[in-house]
This record gives sequence, structure tokens and C-alpha cells, in this order.
Amino acid sequence: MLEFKGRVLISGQGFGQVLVTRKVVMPIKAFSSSAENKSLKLIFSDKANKDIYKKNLTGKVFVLPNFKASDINSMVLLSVCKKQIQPKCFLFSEKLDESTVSAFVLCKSFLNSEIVVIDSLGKEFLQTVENGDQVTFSDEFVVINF
Amino acid sequence: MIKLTSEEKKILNGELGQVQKKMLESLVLFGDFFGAKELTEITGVGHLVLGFGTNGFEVVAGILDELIKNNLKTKFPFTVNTWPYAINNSQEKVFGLFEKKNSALKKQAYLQNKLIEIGLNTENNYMDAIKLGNSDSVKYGDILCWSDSSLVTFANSAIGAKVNNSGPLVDLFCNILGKVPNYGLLTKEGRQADVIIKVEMEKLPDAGLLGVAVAQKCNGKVPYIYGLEKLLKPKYDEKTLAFLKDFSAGLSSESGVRIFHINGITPEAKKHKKELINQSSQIVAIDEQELERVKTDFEVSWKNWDSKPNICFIGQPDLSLYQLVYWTNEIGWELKQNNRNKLKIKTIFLTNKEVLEQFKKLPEYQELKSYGGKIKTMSPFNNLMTKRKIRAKIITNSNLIRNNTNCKFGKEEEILDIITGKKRRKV
Repeated sequence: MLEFKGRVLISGQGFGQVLVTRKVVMPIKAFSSSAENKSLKLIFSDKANKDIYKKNLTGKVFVLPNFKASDINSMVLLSVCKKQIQPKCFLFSEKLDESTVSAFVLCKSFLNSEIVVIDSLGKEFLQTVENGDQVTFSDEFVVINF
Repeated sequence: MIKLTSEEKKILNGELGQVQKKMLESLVLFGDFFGAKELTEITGVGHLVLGFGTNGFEVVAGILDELIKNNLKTKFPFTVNTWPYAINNSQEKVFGLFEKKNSALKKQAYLQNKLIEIGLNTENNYMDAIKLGNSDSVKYGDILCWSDSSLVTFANSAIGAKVNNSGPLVDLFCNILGKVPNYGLLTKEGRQADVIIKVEMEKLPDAGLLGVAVAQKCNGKVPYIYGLEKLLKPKYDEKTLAFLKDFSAGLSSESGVRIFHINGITPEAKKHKKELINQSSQIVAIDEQELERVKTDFEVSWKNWDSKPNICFIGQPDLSLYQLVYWTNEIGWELKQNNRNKLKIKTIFLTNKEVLEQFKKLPEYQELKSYGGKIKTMSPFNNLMTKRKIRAKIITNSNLIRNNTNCKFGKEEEILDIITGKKRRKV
């Protein structure tokens, strides 16, 4: 069992199965297909992140370094949250930028999304966690259960 | 935790309505995350980024409807950056890259009408760095809430306004409530430099590329830059403004840093000089070789790295009038040297509607068109980012485009050589 501490944007408690990518994610490329079509799954659709390409993120704990910083990139999250196909928890190893924070804030305040978001968990966390690991999250703490 | 005033507590308790409550909840959640201790009054105009014309559109439109239903308006009129599509010429194709879909255009027009109801400045609804630098719409020390990262960087650095990048819609909520979380660049500490950059070049370098190089060296810290004071004008001329605009875009495209100080040039550096630099600041040098290394490291996933490009985007941020005239003259000269009348590859110059109107009045407009250049008032981001298969090999001098798409970056002189067919030159 390993415990990591981050910074909470949207707090909550729970546990789940991890899907992890070690590379920064571009939300528009990764999520647009699922956001726009009638699918009730969030299928990761950017080949640049080979480790999770075509994996279903809905209801999972999604671990990643960060979203690619952009003024508009993260707005696709709104469509994902509106369809309620988002991961149950986003765990970022790096610090989030304001546009991404803004999108998550809107998901919470205007769409009442059930979502937990923690950033700044660090490089060690990102390198340690593997696809399929079970993690528990509670406020700013994340525990990897081996 | 943000400490609220009694008036703000009433809003959060829903006494002024549910939409106001949700707006303030958003601001508090956002501000708490970034360590704000209070909300502070906005003192000037708003400026919003509008790339969300397509993705997330329905949700954005729904939220705007809620604001309109409640007769909510911004305290000051606000401006926007370039729309994804030019609203006129709806059927136009952009060199076969992407066709403007009527559905997307309708969405964009629909969104614009909603924004007008909320407070979009109907007379001057675009804002760019050059306009900002040439007007007094934003003043030194103004407290603002914006969401266009390159313009936020320009306003903080070149004007001395106090503005954090707030993200789409949170910016609008701030401008309606007239309040913004007080943290980061709104504070004296947040504007202090932690890195000293020494630019060791005799000639003014490519502004966007230098911005990326500085961003990489800063690692999220505020830079104080020496070495540019001899190459720029402290009383901004058009060349200095264009440099500051493109440097701001390069810096902000590569990092979360939204301010820089240039010794003897930018207003806070002129006013406070070394007092702006924290004692423990590290010192880093950037020379031509470092710029070349930065450029070489840019990732492009073209199957054949050395493929000949067939389309070129110049601009983004929008080209200024000075830059359009400059490019026209440079192209004219190079074409003459190479015994050509037309550009060798399809070249799109990106600007905004207001600059284009001014450019049309100059002889250089017809000249550039006669070379085959196309001048567009659009932002290609959404199209280039979301289009799954773009077969064209695109080169650009814009770090904003390069950073968000699979386009290859070239410095100004390299781009000029390629588009005018001077010689076979790799970017």
C-alpha cells in the first residue's frame, strides 16, 4: 500500500480501477468522438496515447500527467460531463492550468457532475501506478492498494 | 479558503437567485483551488476566448441561456478573440483543408447573439494585442478577468494590468459579478521574477520561438529579461508591439507563465527595475544555438519528416497591420530576386476583421493578393485540432498553431524562403 498527497479541486471519497497514461492528454482529440456521438461510453480516441487508446474511461479512475494547456482544449469536458460518461475520478501528477480548472468547475457547479479531481500528485505517483491497480481516494489523499 | 463579504454570502445563500449562486460557487471553487483569500473588484473591461464555438457548444449555450433569462450582464462591455470561422463567405473552402459547415457557422452566429445580450461590445467586439497597446482601454494597474492566455500575458507584461487567466465562462461570471479571485498576478508577490534570462543575440530573434525558449527555462516561474532593451523601443513602436504580442503568445503556448518583465521596456521593469527580481533568482542565458535546439525538439508526426510542405499559415495571434505590410514587402522583394510572380505554396495570412479592413485601404493589400496570398479572418485551431485526417503538409510561423496541431514550425526567414521558392530549404 502506498499513499500520495495532492491538491483537491473537487473533493470526494471512493475507490476504483485505474487507467493510466504517462503522456499529456489533448482532450479535444481524446474525447471529441465520444462527446459527439451517441455512445454512452467515454472511449479514449487519441492514438498519441497508445497506452489507453480505445479504452473505456467511464467510471474509472483516470491517472495522467496533465491536459495539454489550451484556452479551449478542455471545454469538451463539458459535453462529456453532460452525457455523464466521465471517469469517476481524475488524478493528475502535475499542476492544472486555469482553463482545465474552469471546465471542471463548470461540470460541478452547473452540471452537478459526480466527479473527483486531484492534481499535483507528483512524478512518483505517475510512475508507480499501473493499469488495473485499485486505488482509494479521500480528500487530498490517494492510496494505491497492491 | 476565500473569505466572503456579507453581500457575497447573500449571493452564495441564493438570496439573489439560483444562477448568481451557481456563478459565485464556481468562482469560490476556482479561487480556493488557486489559493485566493478573497474576491476583489474588477476595474476594467473583460475579454473572452471563444474557441468553444463548436466543442462543448450545447452546454455553453445552455449556461448562456440561464444568464440571459435572469437578465444578467457584465459590468463593462467585453470583447472576444477571433472566432473559429469568419462569419461572412459561409461557403468558402480554405484550400480544401476544411470546409466551413453551415451548421458550425449557425452555432457561431447563435453564440454571438447570446453574447451580445450579456454585454459583448457590439461596436468593437474584437480585441488583439496591437489594439490594446495603441489604445487606453486597459490601463496600468487595472484589475481584470480574462481568458485568452496570450493576450492575458500581453496585458500583464506590456501594459502592466493585473489579470489572471480565468478560463472560459468563469471569466464571464467574474465580469457579471464584477469580482475576481485575488491571487497570483493580482498580487505583488505573484508578479515578482524568480528567473533572470540573459538574451545573448545581436539581432531581434523570432519572438514566438524566444517565448517558447524562455518558457522552457522558467519552469513556471516569472522571468526578468535582459538583452532585449537594445533591440526594442521603450516607447512602443509597431515593431516592438508586434514582438511583444508574438513573444507573449510563444511564452503562454508553452507554459502557465502569464507575465514577463523586459529590462527597460515593459512598464513594471521601467518603474521598479531590480526590485522586481527576487534575491534567490537563478540566471539563465539564451543564445542562437539554444533557440535552434528548441526548434529542433518540436515534435511533428509527419510520416516523412522531409516532405515538401504545401500549405503555410502565417499569423496567430492575428497579424497586425504593420506585420501584413512587412510580409508583403519581404515577399515582393524575395519574389523579384527569384524571378517569380507568385508564391510557391498556398499561403494563408491570419488576421482579424478590423485589421483586414485597414489593410484593404493600402496598396499592399492588392500586392499581396497578386502574389497569391490569402488573408483570412478566422482561427484555424478548432478545425486543425479536431479534423482527424488532414493530408496537407502545413508549415507555420505560429507557435500557437504549432503547439496545438501537427503543423511544422519555421522561423520567419525560413518560411519566407520556402513560400517564395528561394531555395529548397528544410524547416
